[in-house]
Amino acid sequence: MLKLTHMKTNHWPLIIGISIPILFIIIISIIIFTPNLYIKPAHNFLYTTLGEENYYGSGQIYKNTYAVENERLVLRPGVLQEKQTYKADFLPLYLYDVTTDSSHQVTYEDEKNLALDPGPTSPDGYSVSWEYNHDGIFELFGSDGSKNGYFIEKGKGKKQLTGLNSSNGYYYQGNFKLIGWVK
Amino acid sequence: MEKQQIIAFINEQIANGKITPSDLATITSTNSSVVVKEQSSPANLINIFYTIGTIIAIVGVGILVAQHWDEIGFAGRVIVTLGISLATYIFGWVFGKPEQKSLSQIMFVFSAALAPLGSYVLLHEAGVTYDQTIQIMVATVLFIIFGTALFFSKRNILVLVTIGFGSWAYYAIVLKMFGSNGYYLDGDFIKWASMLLGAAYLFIAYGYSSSVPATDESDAREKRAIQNVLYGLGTLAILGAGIFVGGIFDLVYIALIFAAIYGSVYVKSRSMLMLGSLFLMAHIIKITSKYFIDSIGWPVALIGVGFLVIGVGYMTYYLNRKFISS
Repeated sequence: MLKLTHMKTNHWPLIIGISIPILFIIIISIIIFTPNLYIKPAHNFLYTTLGEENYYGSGQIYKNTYAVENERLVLRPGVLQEKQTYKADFLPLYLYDVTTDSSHQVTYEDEKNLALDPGPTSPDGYSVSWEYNHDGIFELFGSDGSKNGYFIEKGKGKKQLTGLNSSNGYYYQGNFKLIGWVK
Repeated sequence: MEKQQIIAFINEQIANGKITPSDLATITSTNSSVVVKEQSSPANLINIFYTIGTIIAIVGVGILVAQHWDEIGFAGRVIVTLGISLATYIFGWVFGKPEQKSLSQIMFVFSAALAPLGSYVLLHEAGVTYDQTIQIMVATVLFIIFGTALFFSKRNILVLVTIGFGSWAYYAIVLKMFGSNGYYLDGDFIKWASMLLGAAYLFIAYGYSSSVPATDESDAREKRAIQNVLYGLGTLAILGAGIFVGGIFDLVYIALIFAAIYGSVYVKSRSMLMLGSLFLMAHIIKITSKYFIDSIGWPVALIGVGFLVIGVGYMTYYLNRKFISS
């Protein structure tokens, strides 16, 4: 025999129980994503991509690399070591447009008169860095490799540089090199 | 009015169709101290056979499918996972009569077990990576599908199924949010998230019976079982995650353990009591080895811990016998 005792209908514990995870997600979302809303960089930047030969010593270097001197883009001649040859005259040079999140290859001649800040932090306090993502807990909740890549950040806020990560497919940490921020 | 007159009156009203047996069941479940006749043993036996049969069938299907996974092709793989899941989901609805309750719940369990695998197979074949975003979507969709079934069919097992898919979605969302913002390396967040989820389980367990009154004795027993599972999982999530936080939280954790032990008596949950006691023992060992080994040495610490653990064991036995088993 089982005794069923009288119980007044009370929905509050159930409502609280269901609300806890939902509120947690909402509050954490606000804390994490609110700073990202204020990420509005104003300065474009010039960057280059270092070839693999720089790391694995294939014996080829570029004839000219870049530097910023007196706020201007200047060429730095590559010095041939023993058994090295030139791969090309110039390292590839790109201009990243932060307003459209797009990246375009440019030439030294086009950009040599730009006023540049060598950084690494932009005049308005932004910096670019690579971030790894994770693979869930033992892959239990899935991986999210799409979030690996370069981010522009300031304080606690950040934004993925989609123009840098997606359009130029094979970026990995290390082959991006910031040259300077356009003033 | 005499008792016989009342019974005759009720019989007359039932015969006239003014009230139904289910109305009587509702009255008995919502009024105080009503004693209901225990479920007959043949029904219990049928339930046992249902359960054994289901387990055998699941194992059989699993082995058969695993053996022929590569040979059955895309269509075969979708049919044996998503197809069976869908079919059993429909059967869960179709078996809607009260006497088919067990069969219906088994169908829903079968469906819920195959649904994630089915979704994986379908998306994998479609070339969609089963990443966090997709998992959030799949878990949320399954949560809604089985939550709908719970809302309309009121099958108790669906509480666990729905909470399971909800928890999956919760972890996938939390991991994606933290992971995408570089907080992942600070591993404490997953502990706090787990503890909050554990608290949610406890509230849901406590609120379930008061929000959805039992319709009969077997329903009350099922609800009680569901509650016990949730109390156990909630306690495990809170204490299991909390023990790894460390620092000043070690002190708060002691309060949490005693809250679990006190709570177990309040809600009469043996699983909560057992887990509270086990984590109390673990915490005693952890605290002793962390703070007292250097001052009192291993042998004395072991003696102290031994007696404390015996004390906790006796306390558990006493509380269980005095407040929970009774």
